[in-house]
Amino acid sequence: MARTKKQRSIQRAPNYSGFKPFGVQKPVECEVKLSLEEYESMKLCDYDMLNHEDAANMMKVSRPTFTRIYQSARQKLAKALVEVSVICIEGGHATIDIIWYMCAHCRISFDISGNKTPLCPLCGSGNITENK
Amino acid sequence: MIIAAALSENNLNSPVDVHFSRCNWFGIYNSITKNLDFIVNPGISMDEDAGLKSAEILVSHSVNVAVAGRFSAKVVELFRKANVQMVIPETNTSFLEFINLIKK
Repeated sequence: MARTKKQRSIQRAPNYSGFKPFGVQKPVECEVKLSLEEYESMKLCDYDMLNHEDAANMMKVSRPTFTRIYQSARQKLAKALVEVSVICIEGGHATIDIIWYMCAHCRISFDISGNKTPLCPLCGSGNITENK
Repeated sequence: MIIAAALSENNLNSPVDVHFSRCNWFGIYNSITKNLDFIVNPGISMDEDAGLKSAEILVSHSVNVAVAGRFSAKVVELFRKANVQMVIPETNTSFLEFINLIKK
């Protein structure tokens, strides 16, 4: 039996579901599914400019595993760009390291460190939602 | 509570910067003394670990809350260890609007 995949740590899931190409005549039929860990690998390497070793530590995976995830992300992205596909960011084997909360009144997202009761740091309201 | 916000300009009307590490200025506001200060981001000229340098400076200013549009992975790690709360406001929120949200 194949070994089950280890969960990969990500810091924050994107607050959108994907991308759609524009300026095309026909409706777009193809769809590329980018997993949350693939999104995170691109963010760490190409946006935060971390090397593979540091990025692998952040995602709590080995460096070869990280390289495979990153390579897969780049291939999918290239496919979507060349084949004019919709990119959906969903699924994968990821756990979110930090829970982000949202206060509807102040319209902010924030983290809570330790075991504190989740309260808005600005208005002190307990009427907050978990940002998933 | 001491709040530090990543800003593109050194005035209250400046919007909160999207990037924590690469912003031009930090606005530091003490909600108890109402004291307001602007400091240049020390990490802006650095090629790497800019965010870490900026975060260390804010921790040395005893900041409780850091405000920016996005925090890099290393900065998140440092702030979590230093017990600094990270806040992401809506896009284009000015520093003044943010300060006004604090419960009087």
